Amino acid sequence: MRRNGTAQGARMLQQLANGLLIGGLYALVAGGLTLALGVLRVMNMAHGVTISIAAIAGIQVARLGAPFPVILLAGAVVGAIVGIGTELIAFRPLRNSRRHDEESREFSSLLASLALLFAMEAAAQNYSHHVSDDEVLAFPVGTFSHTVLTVGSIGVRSIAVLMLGVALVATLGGWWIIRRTPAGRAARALAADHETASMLGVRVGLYAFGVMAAAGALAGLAGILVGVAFSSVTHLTGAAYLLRAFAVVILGGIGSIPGALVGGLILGVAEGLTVHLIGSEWIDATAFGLLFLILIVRPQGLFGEVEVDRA
Amino acid sequence: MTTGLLAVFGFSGTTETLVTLILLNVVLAYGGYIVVAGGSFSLAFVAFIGLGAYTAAILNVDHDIGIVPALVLAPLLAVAAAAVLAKPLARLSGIYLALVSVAVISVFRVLLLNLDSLTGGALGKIGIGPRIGLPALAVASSAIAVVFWLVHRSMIGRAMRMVRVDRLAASSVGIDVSTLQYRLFLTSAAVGAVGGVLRAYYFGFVVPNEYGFHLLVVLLAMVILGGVGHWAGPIIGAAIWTVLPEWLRPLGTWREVATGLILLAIILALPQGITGGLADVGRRLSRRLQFGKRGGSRTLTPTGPSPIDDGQSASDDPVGAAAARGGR
Repeated sequence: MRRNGTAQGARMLQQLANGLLIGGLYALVAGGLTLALGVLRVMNMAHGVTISIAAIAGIQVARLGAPFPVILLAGAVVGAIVGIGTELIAFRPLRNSRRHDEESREFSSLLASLALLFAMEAAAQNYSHHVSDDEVLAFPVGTFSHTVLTVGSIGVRSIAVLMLGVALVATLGGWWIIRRTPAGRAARALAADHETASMLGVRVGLYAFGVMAAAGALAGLAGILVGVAFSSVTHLTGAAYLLRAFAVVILGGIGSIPGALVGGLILGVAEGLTVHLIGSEWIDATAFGLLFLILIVRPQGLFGEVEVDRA
Repeated sequence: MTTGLLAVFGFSGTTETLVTLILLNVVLAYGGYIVVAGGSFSLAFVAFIGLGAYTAAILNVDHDIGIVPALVLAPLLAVAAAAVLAKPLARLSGIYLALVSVAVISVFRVLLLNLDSLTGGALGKIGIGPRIGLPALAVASSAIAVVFWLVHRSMIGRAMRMVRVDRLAASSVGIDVSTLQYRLFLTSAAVGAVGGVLRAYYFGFVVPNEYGFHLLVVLLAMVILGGVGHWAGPIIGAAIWTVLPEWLRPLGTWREVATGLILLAIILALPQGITGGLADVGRRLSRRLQFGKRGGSRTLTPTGPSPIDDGQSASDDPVGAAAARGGR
């Protein structure tokens, strides 16, 4: 009986550890989404497909025999390019358009990037069909030397530790840039008021490219990590992360990078608990359960400012 | 003869299927149209479509009950569910509401997958019948279109347009915005559920993946394409979005890429959709024709009949009113 109890406890600890590590991935994805939403007031529905595209590109780089750090870098670069492309053909025309009024612009950005998502997902599917008959790609064996690290009774995969590490570095680094550098100050000015910021000399167009490139790079890193950790990649790989990232962004507070980090980790742990206590088939509902909870208790999110109604 | 006419537009032998699909999509698109046209970004209507479809499937497959009781029961269930959801959703607006309503759709899909004994899990339910076809869907979509045409011309329609264009101004003239949006949300649930029942009886089966994010994207595309400022928007949107893949067939596997880019171009160029764009053209033409007879400011000029405008004054028109406010 008692032994059974300890086994239960160990299993729960294991699920919590798994959750914490995968939470890093959620934070990475949500970080880019919340950055674009906070600074540029755009809802990038194509953020998820950016993950897929970077993963597919990373697989091609890996097939050339590139070492893992190069693959990771390639993923970030491809993600940044997709981010810049999204800005260029969806968000920038929207921002400069006189036909779209201020209030509906966030929703228009959602629609525009949704249309782009449609196109990019189909393009990614075509490309992966071109490369592999069943449209499923995978990193070649040996891209990353998987090991299992054991701490007490808990075993964790090295890739999962790397995920959390990359997420911590990227989100805390991003936070530092936003808080402590002149560029970050300009970005915060933009977040507060586009028009005033541009009158004060902030070049909106340039910063928009920078923010979208950074957001895309985060998604790209996530793409490589996802591809290596879960061995198969399709054009739909990123979609599941986009939906979770929604929940994390609202949980952490829109525009808050520390919020994305903490929110991502909370979601990961909550999913671990769901698997342990209820069952793995309810894992997809966890994010949204958490979402409804935070909306009732604290609608502005954990790190959000009190003023919520900016619609 | 219609077949010959439609063949001119590049259809193959599947014309009847295509027309039937358009009619079905018109009903579904109205479910989304009604909330967006009332200035709310709640996208949860897809979950109510799913609720309707599954209600029909469960009644038919498990209890041998036909379409008519389903058409009564499904909207009632959907309205009840919507009334429960409306409370937490009413606290949100704008982009928050859009995201959370997407979450509602995802949760609904998880429920469909996991409540196996009721919903059949991932396999869904097959063998719904007798199936319905073009005649039934023609009746249903015409009936709904007529209702929306009447609503568009009524006080409610005017109130909806005003709320969408300028919420603050709407409440300042005595429109109870939150009550209006609450009622529209419930109506959307009912219309969506009816559409869901029809969809289940058209396809003959239901599976969870047919009522998720993808359906949302497709229906939202139809609503936006047609434009939310005009009652005929969903008809035009559904027709174009359903036919577009046929037109783009020569592109092979790249046609979805082209579809997405065309949609993007329309969203960027015509924020009021195709009906809004046509109304704009009509207004410009009539202004040019009336030039000299009536001067005055742009928004006070009564509009002449345009191909799509129902001839109402420009003041309750989104494009004109947005221009009047100096919207950028």
